[in-house]
Amino acid sequence: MNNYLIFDTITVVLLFCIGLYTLIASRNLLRMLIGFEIISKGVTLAIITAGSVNGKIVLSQTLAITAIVVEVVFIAIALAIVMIIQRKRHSLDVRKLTNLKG
Amino acid sequence: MALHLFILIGLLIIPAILAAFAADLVRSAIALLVASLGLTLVFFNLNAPYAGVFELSVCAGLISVLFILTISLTSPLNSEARTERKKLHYQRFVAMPIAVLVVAGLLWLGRGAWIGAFPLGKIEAATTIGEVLWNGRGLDLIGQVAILLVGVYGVVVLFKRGKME
Repeated sequence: MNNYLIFDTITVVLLFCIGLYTLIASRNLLRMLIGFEIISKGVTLAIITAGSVNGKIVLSQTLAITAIVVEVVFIAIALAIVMIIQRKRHSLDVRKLTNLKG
Repeated sequence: MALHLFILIGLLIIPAILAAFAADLVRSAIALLVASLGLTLVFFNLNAPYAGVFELSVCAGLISVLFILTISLTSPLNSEARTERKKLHYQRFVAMPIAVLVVAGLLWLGRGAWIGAFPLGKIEAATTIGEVLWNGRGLDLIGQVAILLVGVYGVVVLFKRGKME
């Protein structure tokens, strides 16, 4: 089980790094959402791994299901906002979204 | 063990890198779908079938469809702009696979140091998902239902056409 823990933890960290890099380096809103998705996959894997290692897999599954539901709602709303931005601005470049710039 | 490692690397990390690295958004969405499939297999391997089924149906199914639908509805760039954008995109993301390899190498080499920090509990008698969900986490379910309703309301409001349109 310790080997699973090592590999899963490394994968969680890597997924987090990949998602964070995408969020930082990307300028396209859709790609930023893809980065968020990658991070949330890492979070879900972390929850399940923790439950599996500690023998509380049932509890961790319910937590993972909750995380997935929240993720879906977030993505649905974010994609709706992306569609509206595209409709109004004809671009998904975050550098052009400067309406609220002080 | 080897199968678990193969799934982690081949069906989870590499598709995630491709999802970030691919210049074409549709390819990114498809890579994300493959990553979801890989995560589902990992869940089944870790003895978490309910989470796996949720991941497969919701993340691999619904979210991928939403992504591909949005990508197809938002107007893509023309071919010249796309070629120009590709060069910039690869310049920005070229460091990512290297960074991933470096982080993975550092974590693997220092595994003796951080693995002891994880508290490993005793294996408890497994209860059913329904028991935990309805008895142990009843309040969470109310929150979950509220979040779902907020999501539905948000999408309805955002897509409602105004009087001026």
